Amino acid sequence: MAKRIVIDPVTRIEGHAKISIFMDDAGNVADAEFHVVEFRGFEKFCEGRPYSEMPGITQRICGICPVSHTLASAKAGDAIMAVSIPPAADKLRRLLNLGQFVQSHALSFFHLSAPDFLLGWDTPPAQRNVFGIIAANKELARAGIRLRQFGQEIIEILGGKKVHPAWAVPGGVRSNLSAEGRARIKAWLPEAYATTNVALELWKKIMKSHGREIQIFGNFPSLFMGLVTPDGSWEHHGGKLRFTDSSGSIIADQIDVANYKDYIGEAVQNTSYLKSPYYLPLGCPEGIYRVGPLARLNVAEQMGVPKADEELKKFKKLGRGAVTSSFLYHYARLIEILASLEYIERYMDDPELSSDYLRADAGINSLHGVGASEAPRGTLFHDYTVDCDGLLKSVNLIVATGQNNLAMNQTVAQIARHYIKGGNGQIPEPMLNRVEHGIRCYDPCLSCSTHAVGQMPLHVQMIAPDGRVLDEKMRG
Amino acid sequence: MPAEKFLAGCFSVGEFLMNTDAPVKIEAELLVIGYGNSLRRDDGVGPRVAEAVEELHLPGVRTLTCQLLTPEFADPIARARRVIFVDAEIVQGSEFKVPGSGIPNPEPATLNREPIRWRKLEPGETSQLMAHSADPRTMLALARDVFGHAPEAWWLTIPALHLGFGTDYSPEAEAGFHAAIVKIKELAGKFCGGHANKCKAVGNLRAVEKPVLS
Repeated sequence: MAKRIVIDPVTRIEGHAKISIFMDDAGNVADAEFHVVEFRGFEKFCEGRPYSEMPGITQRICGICPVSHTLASAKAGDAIMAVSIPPAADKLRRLLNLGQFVQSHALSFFHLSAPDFLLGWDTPPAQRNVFGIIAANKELARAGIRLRQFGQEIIEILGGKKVHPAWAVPGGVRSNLSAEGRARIKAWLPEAYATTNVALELWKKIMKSHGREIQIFGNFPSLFMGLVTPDGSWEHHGGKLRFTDSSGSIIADQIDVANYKDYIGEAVQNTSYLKSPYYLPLGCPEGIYRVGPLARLNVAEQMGVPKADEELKKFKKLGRGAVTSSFLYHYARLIEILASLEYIERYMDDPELSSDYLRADAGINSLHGVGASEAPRGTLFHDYTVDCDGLLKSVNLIVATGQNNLAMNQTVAQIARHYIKGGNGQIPEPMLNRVEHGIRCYDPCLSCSTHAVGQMPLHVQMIAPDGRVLDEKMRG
Repeated sequence: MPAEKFLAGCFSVGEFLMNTDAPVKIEAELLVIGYGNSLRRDDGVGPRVAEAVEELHLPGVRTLTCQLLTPEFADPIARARRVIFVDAEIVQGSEFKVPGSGIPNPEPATLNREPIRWRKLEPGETSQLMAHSADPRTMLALARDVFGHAPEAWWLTIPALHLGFGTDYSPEAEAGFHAAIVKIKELAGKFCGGHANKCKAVGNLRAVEKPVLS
């Protein structure tokens, strides 16, 4: 008789989620689904608000990636005003986004994921956390916290505060980089580089001892999507969309973000508030694609900065065509931290960041505007339609975690298949820990993807074909 | 391989990283951290208290506001002699309706309590550092274990009855706000040289609300 396993909640990711594992009659895993069971509905309640308020409102979707929302929203506002923002404002927005990449990736690697692969998969969850890392290596724990602190410091220097800075606005930004802020960032850069280099060395040791995880943690063919520059380099704020397949071939390129609906469809599951975007020409689920660090490094031909370019060459050797294992999201994150530091360093010598010309001014010149920016977890779209007074008639948000939804389902199913073969109707403990990490590879932010609030506990259910819950486990 | 051994040979940030065994330099006599979501009505009262304390310019007092407690706060916490964490506390029976969720409002709360709760905190090293947010006790443990000093700390909580979307506050949260300011001024006066009580009075909670963007 077929069965279903449900995992609920998943710890150390944002929001609340549940995992269902569906069993077949032979006791093997037939399929898996990652459900998000909370709802906030920013898309709906923003209707009627002035578009100019959106960078301030939508950053409240999340306390961790407010910068990503405020930047994508400001870009959508630029499109409604139909302006090109001043060059200094574009660079300052980019600097803010780079700070966001550093802080978010550092948190994901050092605090949320490292406890699993450094302390051991079967260490009890109560010990598999940052205090376990402290006990094993205090210096590493401290370096990780300070690397995140560095990214947060950049955000605070530019935006005036670490969380929810009301700084990016349609048409530009509110303030430039002060001399004091520039000096603080420059002074911290050597330590940030040193920590990142150590983390990269550490990661290479981890890869040698985690061959099985590389093979089974979300290692499957899919499409990849991210922003690139006109010459195909890594891009994080601006540029055009590129899709590649698992052989590494480009299947769609230089797509204006305003035309995203020609390439991306949105499916919904009746068991989850998380939308499941897919590559429209292939349909759902064949059009499954991944976004975020792994995808960005797959679609980019180069990083555009020397140290990260050297690492990118090593990264690309891990795949035949594209790098397809989601376990390598962690490696991609570290490479993106390195690239971010190199770009930040470049900006420290750029006098334009002190310019006072920071805002373009205009009224409503378009009744529709799309803004896209790379958030740490993947490409983020804000799509607004306004009336002649600039009041929002409709809002569509496509966030990274939603775009990775189909891939997360496949990752859970792949890990579960490895650990459950002709099972006895019970959830094996080793599988539970690894399924948790399989989800964590994507560093999902459920606050953003469902516009949900709160922490994310784990609930797993094993379900028979007739719908009976055979076993379930709760954590958190 | 044990993690200690795995990590032993590969980690050295060397001269760039602060010495983990160096004595901590105290930079604030009293640190007030207000946390919560400023768009979820009463949940925003913690940050609002910290902002109001900042406006008082109390000598020796520093403030931080945030939506969530995150690991990097362990650093400024370690550099304070004393810390007050200010948070909203959900009261049983609170209105907790999310628009569009279909979840009905529960029965109205029956309040029989002080406008604020005041508790001494100790480091809680066994607490799970959940997602991107942490319990104040976990932050104290992080400050002690990673940065070398866990300050004396208290948890000041204010009743939260209305947690829907909005920037206004319930009468209970507003009363808690004013009581919190009085308590923090009293403590600042005790620990920071007795100047605190001479400072200007704090403004009305609603009157200091600012628009998201101008």
